[in-house]
Amino acid sequence: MTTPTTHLLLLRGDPDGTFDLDEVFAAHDRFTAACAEQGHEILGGEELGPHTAARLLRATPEGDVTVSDGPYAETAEQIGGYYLVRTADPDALLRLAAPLIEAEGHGTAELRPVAVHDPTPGAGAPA
Amino acid sequence: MTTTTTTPRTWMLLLWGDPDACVDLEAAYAAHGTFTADCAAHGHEIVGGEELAGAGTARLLTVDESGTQVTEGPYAETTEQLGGFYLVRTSDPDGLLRLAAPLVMDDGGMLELRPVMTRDGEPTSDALTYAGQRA
Repeated sequence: MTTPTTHLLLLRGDPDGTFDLDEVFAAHDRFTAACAEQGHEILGGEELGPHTAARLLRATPEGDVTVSDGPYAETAEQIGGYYLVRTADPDALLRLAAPLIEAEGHGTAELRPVAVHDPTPGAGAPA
Repeated sequence: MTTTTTTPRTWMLLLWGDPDACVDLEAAYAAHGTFTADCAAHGHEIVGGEELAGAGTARLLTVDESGTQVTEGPYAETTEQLGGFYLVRTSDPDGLLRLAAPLVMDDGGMLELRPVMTRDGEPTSDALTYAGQRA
């Protein structure tokens, strides 16, 4: 892949995991520095608050809406944060992200391209 | 659900759904257009957001006791996949969540609204208050 495209890097981990927060932050600093050096342009990113602070809303096709407090329970791993990165080499970007997960000892980094559409709303939806 | 913060802060609105659900795309995009207009009208400032490509396009890097592995998606441990997100600055997260309900009504999905932390060493105080106590 040679054309840079925007990807979402989702960081999932065990919310009850024990790790050295300073080491994790240091890993993130090294990641952002390495991205800059190697041409992966970080467009955005956030660390999320505690998964227990989540508000959830579930809707059914019949129009029933249920609002509740988190956490979102259907996965043992919770999203802890994300980066939005423009890159021409997503595989290399994912390798650079490995220490972010390894610093927490356990977890998954998921890298997904963002959907690209025609300028006309609804005209270029992915199949 | 009685907590309403008064200081605007940033929240991530995660849109979860079944990628195989039969969805009327025109209706879905119309719902997003309505949501965007409603946010502007009600003082919820949309500061970011993306629709993601299909879950099958995911690359995964997994770390566990056996080491680090890279595989192809989709992320397998959930039937609901992340379809997209908004980043919204608001002082009324519950009001925001109600406005967003139509975004998942079409496909029976779920919305998760999570406060964003600051990266200057301290989490946002209201997020901690809402969470009770951080683990």
